[in-house]
Order: sequence, then structure tokens, then C-alpha cells
Amino acid sequence: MFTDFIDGPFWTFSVSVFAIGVIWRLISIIRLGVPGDLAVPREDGGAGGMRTILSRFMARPAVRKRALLIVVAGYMFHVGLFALLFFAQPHIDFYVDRFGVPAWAGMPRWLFILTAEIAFAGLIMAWLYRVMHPVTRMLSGIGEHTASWLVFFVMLTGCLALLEQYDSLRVLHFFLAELLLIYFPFSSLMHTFTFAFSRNYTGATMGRRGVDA
Amino acid sequence: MNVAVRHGLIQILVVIACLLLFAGSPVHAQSSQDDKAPVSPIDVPNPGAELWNAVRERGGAEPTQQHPLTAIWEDVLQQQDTAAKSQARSADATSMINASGDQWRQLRREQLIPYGGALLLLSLAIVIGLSFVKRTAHYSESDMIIRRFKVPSLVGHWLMAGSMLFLAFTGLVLLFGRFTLLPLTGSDFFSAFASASKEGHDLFGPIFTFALIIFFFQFVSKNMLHYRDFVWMARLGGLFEKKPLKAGFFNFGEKTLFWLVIFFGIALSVSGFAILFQNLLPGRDLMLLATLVHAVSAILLICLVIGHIFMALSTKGTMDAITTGDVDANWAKADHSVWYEQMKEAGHIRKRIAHASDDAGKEIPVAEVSAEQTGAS
Amino acid sequence: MARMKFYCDAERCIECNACVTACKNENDVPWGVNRRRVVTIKDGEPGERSLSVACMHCSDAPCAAVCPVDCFYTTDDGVVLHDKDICIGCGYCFYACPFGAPQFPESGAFSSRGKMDKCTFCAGGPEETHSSDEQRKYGSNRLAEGKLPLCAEMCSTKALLAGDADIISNIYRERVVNRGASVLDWGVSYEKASLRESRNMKGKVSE
Repeated sequence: MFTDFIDGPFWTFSVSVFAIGVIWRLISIIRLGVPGDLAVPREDGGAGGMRTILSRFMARPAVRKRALLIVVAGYMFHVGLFALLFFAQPHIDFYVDRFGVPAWAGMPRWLFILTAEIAFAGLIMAWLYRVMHPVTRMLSGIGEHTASWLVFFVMLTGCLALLEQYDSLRVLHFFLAELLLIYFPFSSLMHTFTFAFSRNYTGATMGRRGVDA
Repeated sequence: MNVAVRHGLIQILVVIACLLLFAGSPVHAQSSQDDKAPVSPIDVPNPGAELWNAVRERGGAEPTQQHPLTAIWEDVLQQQDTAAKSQARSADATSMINASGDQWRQLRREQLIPYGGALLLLSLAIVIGLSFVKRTAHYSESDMIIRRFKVPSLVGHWLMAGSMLFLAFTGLVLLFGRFTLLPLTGSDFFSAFASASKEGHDLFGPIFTFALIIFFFQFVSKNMLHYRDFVWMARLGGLFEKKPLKAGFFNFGEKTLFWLVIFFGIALSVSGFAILFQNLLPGRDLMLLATLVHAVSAILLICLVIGHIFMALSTKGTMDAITTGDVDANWAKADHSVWYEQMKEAGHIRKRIAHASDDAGKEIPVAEVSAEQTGAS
Repeated sequence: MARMKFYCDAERCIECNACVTACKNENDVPWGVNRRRVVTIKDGEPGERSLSVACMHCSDAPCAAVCPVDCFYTTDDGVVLHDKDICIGCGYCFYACPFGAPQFPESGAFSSRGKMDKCTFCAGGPEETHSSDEQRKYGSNRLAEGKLPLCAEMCSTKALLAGDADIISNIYRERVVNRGASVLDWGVSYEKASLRESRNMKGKVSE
């Protein structure tokens, strides 16, 4: 019964909350608009925005020097999670099954496991850094901690269900993933989408002034 | 010697060897070479056997006095798998009988599980018993603190500690769960639980190895032995003395723990990878050895860690070192006097900020803190 | 109570692999899983012998002793079976088994094996007898129909025998006497042929 609820109504609900919430927040950001700039632009703002979106993928030298661990761990986690989410075979099968999209090539199993390990090591290191470093510890509120725990448990239950033979373990993973979907639009997890907005804003503003941001 | 007598002798030996083999006795190798058979043969003519041997020897083959089955059993007993062939391509398909698997089973069921479990329970009991002994604080709190571990070291420690605890828990479920959890929970629950433990254990194993490597390089320089440590060892760590002995950054006990953790960690990692990639291993015996090494070093490491956790929790001020990274100056003076003097000379003793969260912005300039705390990364 | 056993007569096995084929077909065994296999020693040399090997359904089965989730059980007929719903694919049964009987559908890195599969003596599994689940997970349940395992039934030289241990040993003993040589001929030869005389067996008995 619980399984049916998780697989059916709760899935629909969580996906709806996720989709509506994310679109709502993105539209409301766009609707805010940007303050008018009457000055004659020196360069194209669009190019500057795009340049900044890409260039910020590299950590600044000072950050790289002082907190190499967080840069490396952050990359391990984010790249790993992206690969797991979209190129793990069980996930592809799930998307094909639920959304009717055509299948795409997934990772071989050994790469899938390796990716999971890299993502896990990255998540735990970044998380420990957040808790251990006095500055990030003070910057983190209940929202960040909730997001960390949720993501960790979604990944952990996913790894526990790797044999793909027990419905109870699959449902546990699925349930936590649904909780994460519901929590997503109300939290800083929105940085998945909003990072591009903020980088683009800075980049475009500076670009129009002829500054390489 | 009479042909028939020799023939009979060999057959007796083979039968004894087979019986011993099937009884799972590890001594079959010696007994098959034993020349003194217990039963003296009686010469009974056996035309059937003679005829059969004659048939075997036909066709120019080397005449043999050996019974044809003797040769087969000799091959089987000596595990000459290379001589065997099979259409099947699965692992160990050409092996007809494997006695080492049964020895492994006996070791596991009769030694590893009972004695390993007893050892774990014993260490828990010792720790619980010791926790009732009231310990007076060995220092009085001051308002001065010293930074003991930088953030990367804290992350390194807790990454290893976290993965190790997870692995210990899931590993113990797999080793002892059948005898402890299964009767309580029933098959359906325990099966899913054990499967989750197995998959989680397999996935987190390499993370532990990764953490171990990082941890080793972070802490190895502070764990080199010093002449001071031999004094510490000779006086039993000052257990029966009033004042703590002189010690540097780590005392001899802590250094021993470090090297034992590294030793068992390497044993666990090597045997663990052998188990993970057993499809690449040449034989089954290596695999059996790997599981035994893995289990024994895991149990010993868990016992060590139980002691380590007890020491950390029961000694006042110690947890601060690994949670915040800062220790009370008096703690350092009492337990690590040599290190304290070094820190004092270098001017690394600073004032404790009473309520860090209230006025953090004012008291700790961000740039200063991050430079100091993450500089070594 | 009957105690089911396999016996393969090395003097008769001609390595035709019909038992392997019969098993695969009857139980829909997937590729890579060999519930039964034929092993040949001294292939192409004098003294060549073949034996068909599968789960021997041990009385004190090592696989059952080492299983961390206790998924093995022995039926009233002495057949060692396992529950695939409980198996976690750890591979310990494979390490413990003297005969290499436990098989796994996968053999990838990171210990991915899938659930163990082995010879069931054509006796199905813990699912309801003749249900589709039983067929899918464990294959045929011929024992419930009063039939013996198909590998032995198909054996053209009757090298592979399956059935009640008493009957099998009687058949084999008879063969040994007729053949005049086997590992058992210690008893035949040195206890003054008492085995032959007492059982009143026929055949080419040495006079």
C-alpha cells in the first residue's frame, strides 16, 4: 500500500511541486527585470554574460590556493551527481518508463559505481568542510543542513539498492528522492538553475561597461 | 613386489585418501603419501581387473601398472586443474573438487565467528566497565586556546571515521547478522537489510581507501617515533604516575594507534579490493585468503576503534580537538607539554572567544581566520 | 525417507554434454550459468575420463553453512535448495562449495554477481509448486511430478544416475562387480568377494 502511494500519487505530487515551484521561481526572477542602463554599452552584454557563465566554472586563484579541498570536493560531487542522475542505467530506464522519452546511452556498470564513489567522497568532504570550517559553519542554516542530509540520504539509499532486487529498498530511495524534489524549489538547491541567472547578470552588466568580470 | 600386491596397495591408499577428503580433513595430503597401509592385502585373482587393464594398455600406450582411476584421483587430489578441460567457461569450471572451500567454511564458522564475536564483546565490555570508573579532570579550563588541527585535517579524520563506521556496521551485519539479527527480524527484512549492507559496503570500501591515503599523508609527519616515545613506553604512559609524561604533538599511544590503523587499513584495502575484483583473481584460494584477512583485520581494527572512541570521549577536552580543531591551552600543557612549549614560543596561543556565534563578525575577521585555518591545504 | 543423490560413472561418461544441454533447456538457464558441466581429465591422453558435475546436494552442505543470510534449506528428499528472494549475491557459497556448483548470472567488477543459481535436482524452489514464479526463478520441478532430473534421464550411456541413494548405490555396485574394477574393488577384492556373494548379483562375475 505504502509502495503504491510512493509510486503513484506521491510521485505525481512531488514532480508537480518540483516543476511548478521551479518554473514559478524562475519566472518571478525574470519578471523582476533589470534596472535600465542608459549609458552607451561599450561591448555586447550578451557576450559578457555568456563569458562569465563559463569563466566562473574555474575557481579563482585565491580560492584555489586557500581552499583547494572545497574546489576539488565540489567538482567531484557536482560532476558525479550530474553523471549519476542522467547516465546511470537504472535512472535512464526510470525516465524512459515514467516520461516515455527515448532511451539514451548510459554508463557501463563499473563507471556507474566509480562515479557514485567519486560523488560520495566529494559530497562528504564538502559537507564536512561546511561543518568544520568556522566561517562556513556560521553561514550554514537549517536550510543548508536539510539539503545536505536529504541529498546524502537519497544517494545513500540509492547505493544500498544497487542490487535492484528489493522493492523495499527501491521505494525507500524513491521516497527520499521525492522528498528532495518537494524541498528543491523552496531551498538553495535552486542554485542548480539560478547560478546561470546570477552569473549572467554580473557578466552582462560588466560586459556592457567593457569589463571582463 | 607382486604386481597385484602393489595394485592393491595403491587402491587402498586411494580409498583412504578419498574418505579423508570427503570427511573434509585437511590431512589428506599427507595420508595419500603414507606408505604404511593399515590393511594387509590378500592376493585374490581378479580377472575382470586384469582384463580391464589389458584393454587400457592396448593401442601402443605406455604400459601402466596403475589402476586408471588412480591417476584420475591423483590429479583431483593434487588439484591439477590445468590437466582438466570443460566446455563450460565459468569460473573454476575445470576444478572437480576443492577441499580448501570447506576448510574456509570451518575456519569461518568455528573460529572466526565465535572468537571474533567474543573479542568484540570483550572490548565493548572493557570499555563499558572502564566508563564507570570516575576520572578526575587532569587540567583546569583556561581562557586560552591553541589550534591543534586545521580544517583539512578535520575533514580527513572524519571522512575516514565516517566511512570506517559505516563499513564496520555493514560488515558486522554480514558477518554476525545471521546469528544475531536474523532470528529477531525474520528472513524478508534481514535479506533486504543484508543486501543493502553488502551493496553499501562494496561502494564505501574504496572511499575508505581514498580517505586512508589522504589521512596517511596528513598525519604521517606527526607520527614519526621520537626518543621521548620510548620513555613514554617504558613508563607505561604514566598510568601509575601522578603527572602526565612529556609528549609532543602525539604521544606514543596515539602514534601506535595511527600506525596500527594504517597497517590494518592497508590490509583491509588490499583484501577488500581483491574481493571487489575477484573476477580478476587467478584462483579461489586467494579469494578465501582475502576474506579471512579482511575479517580478521576488520575485527582487530574495530576493537582498536572502540578503545579510541572511549579514550576520546572519556578524556576531558579531547573531543574539542577533533570537532572544533581548538584545544584548551591547559589541556595541551598537561597532555602534550613539549608541543605546548613549541606553540608558546611560536606565539600560537590565542584567547578563546566566549560566544562565537553572537558577535562573530566583530571578533574574528574572516580573512584572518581562513588564512590561518586553511593555509595548509 | 529417500535421500536423493547424483552419481556419475567415470567409466561410462563419453563427454557428450547431453546432460548440460538437457539441464539448460529444461530449466531455461541463462547464458553464463552452468548448473551442470562435464569435466574431462587427460583429454586426448591414455586414461582420459569425464565426469558430469553439478550440485551434489551434500548432507552437511558448506554453502548453507557460510551463507550470511541463511537462504539454503534441505528438503525431505535430501535436496539442497535455496531461496532467491533471500540471496544477496555475496558469492560465499561459491567459495565454500567443493564442486563449484553455485553460479552467478553476472561476473562484473565491484562484486556485481546477481542472485545465485544452482542445480535444484529438478525440484524447483520455495515458491508454490509448478507456479510461474517457480519456473522463472528455479526452472522445472520434475520431482513433484514423480520424475527424476532430466540430465540423468537423458544420459545416453546411463553414466549419470540420479535418484534415491540406496538404489543408485545398488546399481553402481552391480556395475562395479561386472566391470571388476573401481575404487570400490578394495572391498570386492580383499573381503573375499563378499559384496558379490551376499547380494546375489548377476553378470560377468569371476568364477
